[in-house]
Amino acid sequence: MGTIVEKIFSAKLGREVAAGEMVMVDVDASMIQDMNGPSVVTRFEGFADVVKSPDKHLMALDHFSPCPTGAAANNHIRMREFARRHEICDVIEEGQGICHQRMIESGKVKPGCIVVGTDSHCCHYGVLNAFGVGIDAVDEAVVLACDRCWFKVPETILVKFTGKPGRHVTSKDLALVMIRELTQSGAIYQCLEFCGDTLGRLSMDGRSVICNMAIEAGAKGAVMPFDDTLRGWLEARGITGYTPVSPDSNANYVRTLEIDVSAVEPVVAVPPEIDHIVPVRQVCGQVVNEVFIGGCTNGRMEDFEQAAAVLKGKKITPNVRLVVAPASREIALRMEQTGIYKILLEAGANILPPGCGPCTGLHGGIIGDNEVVLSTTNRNVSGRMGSREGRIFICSPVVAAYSALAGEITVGGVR
Amino acid sequence: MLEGRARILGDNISGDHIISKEYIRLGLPIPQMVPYLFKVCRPDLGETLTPGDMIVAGENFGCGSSREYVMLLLREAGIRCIVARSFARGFYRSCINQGLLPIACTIQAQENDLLSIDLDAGTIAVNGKNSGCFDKFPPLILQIMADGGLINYYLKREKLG
Repeated sequence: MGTIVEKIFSAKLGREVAAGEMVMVDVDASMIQDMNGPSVVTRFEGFADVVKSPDKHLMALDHFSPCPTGAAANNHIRMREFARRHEICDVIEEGQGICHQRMIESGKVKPGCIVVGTDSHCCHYGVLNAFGVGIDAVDEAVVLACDRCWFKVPETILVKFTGKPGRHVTSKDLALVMIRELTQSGAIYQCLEFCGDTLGRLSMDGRSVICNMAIEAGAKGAVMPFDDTLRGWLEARGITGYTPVSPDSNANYVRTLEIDVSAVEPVVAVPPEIDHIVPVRQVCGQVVNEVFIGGCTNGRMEDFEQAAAVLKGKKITPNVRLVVAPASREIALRMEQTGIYKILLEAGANILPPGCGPCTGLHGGIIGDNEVVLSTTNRNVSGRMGSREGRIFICSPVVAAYSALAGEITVGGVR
Repeated sequence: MLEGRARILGDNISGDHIISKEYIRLGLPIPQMVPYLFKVCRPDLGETLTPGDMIVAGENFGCGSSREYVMLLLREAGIRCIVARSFARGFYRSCINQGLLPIACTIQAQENDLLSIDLDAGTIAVNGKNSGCFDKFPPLILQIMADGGLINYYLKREKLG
């Protein structure tokens, strides 16, 4: 009778629970990043002495990476000391990767898990058939103390992707079209669950983009089904000891959203609203000053392969800066091994160490007044990537790469 | 029964509306920042808030960036309760964790109307006249609220259990 998320909670509690119930459960893993890590430490130290399960937690020094300021460096010192004192071994050092990518690569997230973290994009973990959700510093401090967290078991919106994506259409376009359909507040308090024949055509990297972006529709979580693609990925990484979760055939969904993928075109999100999604052809010719490819949303191998396929043997226009940031060290290394790193460098890219810097406007690739950035990240609120007077268009790595060559928004000859 | 004066705000009031970054940058202690609350969306409100006042807002209250100091400031101003048509999820959670009552309910209220909230019945009266009902809080949430937030709840219950 349950959706995937209802069944995850039911298994955890040992009794059947349905959407709407308030429950207190043990979480399987948690993530603390460095924007609010110091708040978590302060909160925790205000009432507790012992971290109950150090192995469950991962601390990521990823937003300020490598450190741009002395204040950030001091915060990192504080987080490292906390981790050492409480024997939290999984500390993601500066330049090793973005928290969400490292959570996925680390084996901390498995099918059926409930995973929390101090970042709104924790819904990303649903790509592994798990329930991931963002929490605040107080929640996290209590999780450190006792592993427990309260939840309202969310209702679920079923999102069905059917059909084959057309030329230059990526999972980012599917994610943006989904957000347009749901709107930016269309899924608050609710979880997204995905199905449909299109999923079989999407890689784990592609599915990650859709789960990562779910929060932009307000969603609490975003869960992919367990299938051969996921099984193969887990096997290849040696991740074992999990129970896959499938929805019951009579599961109760508050809404079903069907997206005919064959009708989707390459799109962009027009600032300052993430649900203002238009086809690329409607904004063709929009001049861009900077293009950014990377982040937790689109900083994986498939993204860079797509960009490199466009940029190979070519040079970006001199009027544009191309900034690239892989989501993890592992990805950066594979870019190097596959020649993609060189292709991007030769095309004119500035390749940053893995980290969150440009997307959060903290450092690296910050834009100035009246500049336009075309970015593969997830939010286009004024000021997020630098000057409040700048504008942020959001797109796929394919659109980003073509636009970097042209100096204006375009894709594959569309003008 | 909780009673308080209605202070009216609109839809999509974000963390940046509640307290703008330009005032946070002043680096003032929390009590001195209260007059700057809601400065960018209702300039008169921060200076006239009195303890016990209740915020009445529209959809998606607390959206966007919402750090811990937003909660601390609202509590410092003596706000115990926010009635909104809907809340951003993270903000709703933080309210409960910090012992602030978030009530998702649509009511017709004017500035300074007297609100009476009956948590047991799940109803709100405006100037003594029944005006709206909301989903009653489950026992777990009432307990966290009664304990004064999540940390106190943990200290009283989870730590022993």
